[in-house]
Amino acid sequence: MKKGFLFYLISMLALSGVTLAQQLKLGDIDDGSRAERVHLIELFDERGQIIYPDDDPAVPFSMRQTCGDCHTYDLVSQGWHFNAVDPNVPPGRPGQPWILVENSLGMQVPLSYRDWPGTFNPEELGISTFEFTTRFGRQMPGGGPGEIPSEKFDEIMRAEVSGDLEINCFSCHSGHSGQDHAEYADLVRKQNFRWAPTGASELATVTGSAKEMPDMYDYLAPSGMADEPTVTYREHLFDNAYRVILDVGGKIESHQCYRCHSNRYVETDFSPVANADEDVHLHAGMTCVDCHTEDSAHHTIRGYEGEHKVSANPMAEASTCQGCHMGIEEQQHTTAGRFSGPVPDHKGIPPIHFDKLTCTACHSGLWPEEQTAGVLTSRAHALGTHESLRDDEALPGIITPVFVTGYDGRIEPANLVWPAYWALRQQDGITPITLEDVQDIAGPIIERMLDVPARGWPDFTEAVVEAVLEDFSQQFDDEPVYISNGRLYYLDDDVGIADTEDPAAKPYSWPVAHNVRPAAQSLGVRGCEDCHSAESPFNFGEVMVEGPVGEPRFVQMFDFQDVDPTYLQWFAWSWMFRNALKVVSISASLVLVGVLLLYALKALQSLSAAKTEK
Amino acid sequence: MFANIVVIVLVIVLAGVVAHWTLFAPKGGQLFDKQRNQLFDPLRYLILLVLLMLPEQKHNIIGILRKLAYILAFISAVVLGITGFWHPVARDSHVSGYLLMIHATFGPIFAACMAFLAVFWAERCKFNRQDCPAVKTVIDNCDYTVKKAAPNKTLWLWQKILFWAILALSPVVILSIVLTMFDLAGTHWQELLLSAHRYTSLAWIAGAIMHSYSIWLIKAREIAGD
Repeated sequence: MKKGFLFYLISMLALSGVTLAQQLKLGDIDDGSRAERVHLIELFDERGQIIYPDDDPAVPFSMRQTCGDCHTYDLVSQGWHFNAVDPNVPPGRPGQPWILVENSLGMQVPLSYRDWPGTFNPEELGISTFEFTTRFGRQMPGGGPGEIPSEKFDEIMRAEVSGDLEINCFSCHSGHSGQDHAEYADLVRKQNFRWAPTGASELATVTGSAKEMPDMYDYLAPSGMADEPTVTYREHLFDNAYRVILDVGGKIESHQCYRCHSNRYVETDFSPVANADEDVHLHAGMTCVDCHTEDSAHHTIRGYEGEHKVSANPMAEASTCQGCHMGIEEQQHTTAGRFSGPVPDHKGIPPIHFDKLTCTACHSGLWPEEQTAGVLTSRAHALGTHESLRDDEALPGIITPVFVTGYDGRIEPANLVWPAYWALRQQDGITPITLEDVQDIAGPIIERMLDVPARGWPDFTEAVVEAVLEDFSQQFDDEPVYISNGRLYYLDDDVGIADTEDPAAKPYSWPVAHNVRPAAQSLGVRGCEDCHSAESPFNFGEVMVEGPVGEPRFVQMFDFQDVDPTYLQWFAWSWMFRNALKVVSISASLVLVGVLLLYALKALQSLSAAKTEK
Repeated sequence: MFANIVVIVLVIVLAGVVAHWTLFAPKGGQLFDKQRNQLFDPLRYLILLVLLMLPEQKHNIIGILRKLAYILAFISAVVLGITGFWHPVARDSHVSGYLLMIHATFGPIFAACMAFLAVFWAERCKFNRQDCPAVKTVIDNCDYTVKKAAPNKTLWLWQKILFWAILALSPVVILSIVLTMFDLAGTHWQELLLSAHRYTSLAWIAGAIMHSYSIWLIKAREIAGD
C-alpha cells in the first residue's frame, strides 16, 4: 500500500514537474472511462496552422501541434520510447541496442544512448543524431534523437531541410489498416523526417526525397524540383469542418507493436514452429500493452523484475511475470492471477530454481538446441520494411538463445551479438575509431584487397587486418586494434598480427522474454535432464562466435554463466545417480518406519500384557 | 530466521553438553590413570573422545557392520550438517554448488546407515520396566515411590529416548527432501517440505549431539569405575 502510494506520489511529482508552467491538457489524465475515444479532429502543421486538404502547397501535419492540442507533447516525450537521449533517465536493465552494421568495413557495433555496458554512445563513433535518425529512425516512433539538432556543421542545413522527426503517435496508436510502417521507413531513409508521419498515415501520400534537395531548400516555398517532397491529402477523409477521424482511440493491438518488435528465427529445427506460433499470452487473448502498459507520461513498463525501483509507472511491479502469476510479495492485496493468469504449480521444481533462474529461462525464447540459432529482428534487420534483410545470413549476426547470467545475477535467455570495430588502445581502455575515419582510411584498403559481398561478412584475412592496422598506426598516436570474432587483433613485431582476449571483445547480450512458450514447452517439462545432463544445451550448448575474420568457431554456453564449468560437469554426471538416491532413501525410510511401527506395536503389546497380568 | 534458530539451538545444546561434561564427567585422573602426565595433550583427549563414542563391538560380522554403520552414519551426519546448514546460516540462501553435490552424495549413505542401525540397535534400545519407572508406575497403579535410578541407568534411559526420537525424525528428514524430487509438490509444498527438512534436520542434529554425548558419558563413567 505504501509502495503504491509512493509510486503515485512520484508519478504526480513527475507530472507536476512538467506542468508547473503549464496546465495538464484534456488527454493527459485518464478519466476512467474504458470506452473508446473518438478522435474527430483538425490537423495542424508545424506552425500550428490548420491543414486544409486542398492547400497549395500542402504541407505535412505536425504531431506536436495536432496531438499536442490535447496531449502535452513534452510529457509524452518523457516516455521510454523517446527518452534514451536524456542522461538523467536511469538506464535500467540493458536492452536491445541499435546495431551499426558496415559489412564492407568489418563493423558491427551495438549502439545506445542509454548507459548500457557493452554498448557505445553513437557520438563515440562520430555518429550524429541526424545520421542516427536516418539510419535507425525507420523503426523508431520518432522523438528522442530525431528532435536533437546535429552538432555537425554540414548537417545543420540538412536538418533544416528534413525537419525534425517528431514523435509519431501513429506508429504505435494508429489501428487504421492504411497506417503503413514500411512507407514510414522509406520516408525516414529519404530524410523526409517532417513528412514521415503524414506519408505513413492513411490521410495522405508523400512523394519525393528531402535527401535530394539542396541545403537551402524551403518546404514552404516549393520550387518544382524533381523529387521534391510533396504531400497529397485524401480529401474524402476530411469532413466539411476539415476534420478527420483518426483511428487512435482504441486499445493498441499487438500488430501495431510488431511494426518494430518482430523476430524471425533461422537455422534451427525448432524455428519453423517458433516462427509460426505467437507468444502464449497473445493466444490467450491478451495484447502486448496489457503487460507493457503506459501511463500518460508514456512510462512504458518493460516488464523485468526490479523495474519498479527505477520506473515511475506504478504498475511496474504488478506487470512482471511474477507480479501477474504469483503476486507481489508483502502487498496487502495480491496481484496474482491478473488477466486470468494461472498461478503456476511448478510441481517438482525445488525453489532454488527461482533464485538462480529468471522465469524466462524456462519459458521464453527459442527452445535451446545443440547449437545456437540466428535471429532477425525488426530493429536490427528492418523487418516489415521495403529494405528488410530477409536472408538467413543477414547482418548483424544475432545469436539466440544464449543462457547468460543477467542483470540481477540470475540466468536468463538472451540474444547476443559479437562486436566488430576498429579502435585505439590506450592506457585506460579501448576507444572506437569514428566511422568517418574508418571509411576514409580503412575503406579504400579493404576495397582494394577484397571482394566485399553486398550482404554478409567479407572474408577478412590477417593480411587485410594487418594492412588496415598498419595504416591506422600511421594516422594515430595510440595503438590501433581490431575487435572481432571475440578477440582483439593487434600488430606484433614478430608475427605481424596477433590476437588476444580482451574485455572489449566480449559480446553484448540482452534478455529475451518473448515468445513465451506454452507450459508444455517449458524447459524441464521432460524432466530435470532438460537442463541437468552433460548433453543439455542449457549449460553445454555451443554458442557461435562469428565475425569477418576466419571461420565461425564455437564456445560453450557456460562461458556466459557465472558458474564453474567443472562443477556443472560433475553436477550433470551426478544426475545419473539420482534415481539410485531416491530408491535408497525411500527404502531406508520404509525400513525406519517399519522398525518404529514394529517396536511401537511391541510396546503396546507389553503394556497390554502388563495390564492384563496385573 | 532459520539461521538464527540454528545458531540458538546449536549454541544451547553444545553449551549444555559442555556444562554437563564439566560438572558431571569423570575427572581426568580417573580416565587417564596411567597417562596422567599426558592428560592435557589435546590430540590424545580428542582421540579418547572419539573412542568413547564408538559402540561396543561383538566379534562377528554383524558387530563389525554395526560399528561400520555407526561410524558412517556419524560421518555422514557431520558432513550433511555442515553442507546443509552452511548456505542457509552463513549466506541466507538455499544449498547449492559443490556443497549440494556433497550433501546429495552423503544423503543416501546416511539413510542406509540409519536403516541398518535401526534394525540392529532397536532391540537393545527398547524400554523395559527398569528404564521406565514412570511407565511402571502407570502400569502398577499402586506404587508411586520411584526409586532413584543409578546415574548410568538414568543416562541409559535418556539414550534410549534420544535413540527413538532420532529414529522417528529420520524418515521425516529423508522423505521431506526426497519427495521434493518427484512431480508431486508445487512451489508452496516444496517450500513446506524444505522447511520440514530443515527443522527436522536441526532437531535430529540436536538429538544426535545429545545421544552421542550420552554414549561418551556412560563409557567415560564405566572407564572411571563410577
